[in-house]
Amino acid sequence: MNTEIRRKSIYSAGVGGVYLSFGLVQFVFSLGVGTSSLRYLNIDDNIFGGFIMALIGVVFIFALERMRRDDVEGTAFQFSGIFLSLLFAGINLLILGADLLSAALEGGSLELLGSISPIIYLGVLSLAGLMLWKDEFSLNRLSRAGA
Amino acid sequence: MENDNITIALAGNPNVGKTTLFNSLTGTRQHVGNWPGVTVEKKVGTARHKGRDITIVDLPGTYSLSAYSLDELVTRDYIIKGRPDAVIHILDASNLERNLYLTIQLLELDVNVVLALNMYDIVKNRGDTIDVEMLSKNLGVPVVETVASTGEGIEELIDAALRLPKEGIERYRPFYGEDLEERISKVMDVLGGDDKVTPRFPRRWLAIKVLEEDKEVLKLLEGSEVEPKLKRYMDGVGQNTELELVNRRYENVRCVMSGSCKLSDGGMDPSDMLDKVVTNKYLGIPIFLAMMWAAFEMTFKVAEPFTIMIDKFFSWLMVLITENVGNGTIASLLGDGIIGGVGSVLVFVPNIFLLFLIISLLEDSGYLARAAFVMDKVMSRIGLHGKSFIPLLIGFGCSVPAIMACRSIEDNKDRIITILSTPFITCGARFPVYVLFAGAFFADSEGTVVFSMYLLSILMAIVSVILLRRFIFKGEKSPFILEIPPYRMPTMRSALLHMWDRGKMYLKKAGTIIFLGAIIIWVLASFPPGVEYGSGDSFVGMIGKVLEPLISPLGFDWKIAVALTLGFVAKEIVVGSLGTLYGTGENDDLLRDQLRNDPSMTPLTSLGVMIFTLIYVPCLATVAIIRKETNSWKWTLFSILYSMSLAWVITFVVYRVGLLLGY
Repeated sequence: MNTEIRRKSIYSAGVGGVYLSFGLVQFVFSLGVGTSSLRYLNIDDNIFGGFIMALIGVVFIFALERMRRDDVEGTAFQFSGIFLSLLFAGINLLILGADLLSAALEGGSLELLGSISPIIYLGVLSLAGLMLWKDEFSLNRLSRAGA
Repeated sequence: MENDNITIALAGNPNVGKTTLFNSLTGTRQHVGNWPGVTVEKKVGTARHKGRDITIVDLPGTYSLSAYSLDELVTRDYIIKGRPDAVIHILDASNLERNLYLTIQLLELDVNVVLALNMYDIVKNRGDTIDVEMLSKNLGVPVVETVASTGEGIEELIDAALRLPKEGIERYRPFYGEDLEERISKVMDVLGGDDKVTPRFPRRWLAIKVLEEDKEVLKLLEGSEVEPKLKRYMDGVGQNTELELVNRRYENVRCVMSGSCKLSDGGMDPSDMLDKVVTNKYLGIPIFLAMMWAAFEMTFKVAEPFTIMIDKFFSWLMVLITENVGNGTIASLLGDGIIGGVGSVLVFVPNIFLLFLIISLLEDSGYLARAAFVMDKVMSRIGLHGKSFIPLLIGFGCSVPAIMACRSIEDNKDRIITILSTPFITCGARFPVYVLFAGAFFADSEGTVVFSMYLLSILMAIVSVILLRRFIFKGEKSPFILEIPPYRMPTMRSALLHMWDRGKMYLKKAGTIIFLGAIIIWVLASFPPGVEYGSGDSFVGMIGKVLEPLISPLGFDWKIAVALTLGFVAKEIVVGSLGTLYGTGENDDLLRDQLRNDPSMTPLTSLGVMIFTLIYVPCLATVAIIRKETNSWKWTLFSILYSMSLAWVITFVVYRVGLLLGY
């Protein structure tokens, strides 16, 4: 295993482990088994949110497993994990913005820090990955859709 | 080519950018999607180029000019019978070998061809090279590099088409090998004895089609003088001629390509990397589910501020009318009737538009084609292939274009099964009904309940396919071939245009059918004179009570009976009519309160209303398109009765089981 693959493996193991853990905890919360000490991490009881985080974690774990076999597909799984996590972080950020606007329109307010869900803040890990391997993972290589 | 009326046809494989080029040339906004089979019939537009008027015809995408599917026939018939002055054959430059197969067939038709090597940017990005001059020389036709999405190379392409035919250049003539060439010559000799059909076609092409046993060509030759001779000859020819011809055509393609193309071995691009994961046998379906859930969550949450603003606007308008219109009847007509009816539908515009925007983004990116591929495994278990999944997915927007998209399904049985099952997929118009009832009775899990209705609609379509396959259209499914397009970066302009094209239908309905429906409901709810508005003594109440026995076993009262009956015209009317019947007008929050306070409405009955709305006939427009696409009243009536019966039976079962369980 060369140095680059080793770096990618460590990254996939770390990020995948975090996503999978958060996803499973949120899944457990959604079943009503609350661990209140972890609530400060803004983990809510949304079952689908938990499912998505766990899924992203599994994609990174697949990446790790393939890299350990020196399979070139490992990079593809890592890239897809980064892509999916950023996609869902973006979607949740958009939803958060809409929630803030709705609260303002209704004359109420929303606590911003308390509303930043794990799927949003964990996106920072993927953003770091994207920065590290930006040449390899650039979406600029895709052509534009026609109109 | 100096005549004034110039016609240029755009042909090519599916999803190579024909419609993008068509839109760019004609300034129209025909729907473009990043999957094969978006254009199912030819579209005509006009363009002006360097002072000359040109008619541009966008043909459905085809891989070949055989007569296997409706879109292939439409394309072939137009090229042969329409005789355009030039055919621009648009090729996906990044997938040249497969695309050139159609070029070989076009050359056989003796039409003026220009090749557009589209998506040339992908070729460059990959590091591949194509020697355009050599390719042009090998084929004997002009070849132009283009990127239709940015307009690159389009001027040169039209210039080249207008310069046709180029004198002095020998066009490539496919060679099929000694044995096949001898057979082609023999059939051509036989065809020489026919003076009715043969003179209308290039004789060599006709001979090749006879050898391929092309059904349409054989039908044309039926009853001709040469038919018996041809039959005798064909009886002596081996059965694999068609396959031999296909193989030889690919050999011709390789011969044409030789020396002109060089592929890099640059490894996986982002499109390949994503495909490894989203089409993975373990991850594909969970990722699809995650994408769908995120789409619906966004549809609700992101639209909410806009919904609040529209709601506030209509509330303000209602107060304005009540305070300023003196005549009580007119105030009621404007307030309770028109604003109440139309307003209650318009508050869902943000949700509908956002749903269409998300579908457009998924489609333009190429993800929906992957979804069809991933779902093929599930679909094949129930007797359909992944191609049927595309119309089903379009059905989430509107059943009408979804049913039209079934044209790309070659097998007639598969096509009818998909047409009859597509209406079960929940369209945008049914969405407000779910939002209303889920919000009223399942406020804490509104998004999840609505998402469940979408899952149920997929399940219903699957059950329908199983039932139809098992009891009516017995037999094996046809083989599944779907081209997976490369991922493309969706552009906001394109996605917004698609959203508007689809969403404006909803606005149009609000201004026409729903407006009219609101007035009719108001009249029925206000008369005979003196009755309480929308009460059981009004005309609408009387109608509802006549219908009530039919649906009372489902737990519904007369108000629901009226709303569901009117919903047959368009599902959007359901919410508006409930607003009228409960006297809440456009205020959906108030309507939710009224529904909760109605003793005949419980979470179980509200679930029943959502399920019934999901399953029964979507709208009159869907009925009309089923008639058009099946060309059969039998299947149209069957579709209505089938969905009504299923809706009744399933709602009955859910309601009764719910009661037994104590809900």
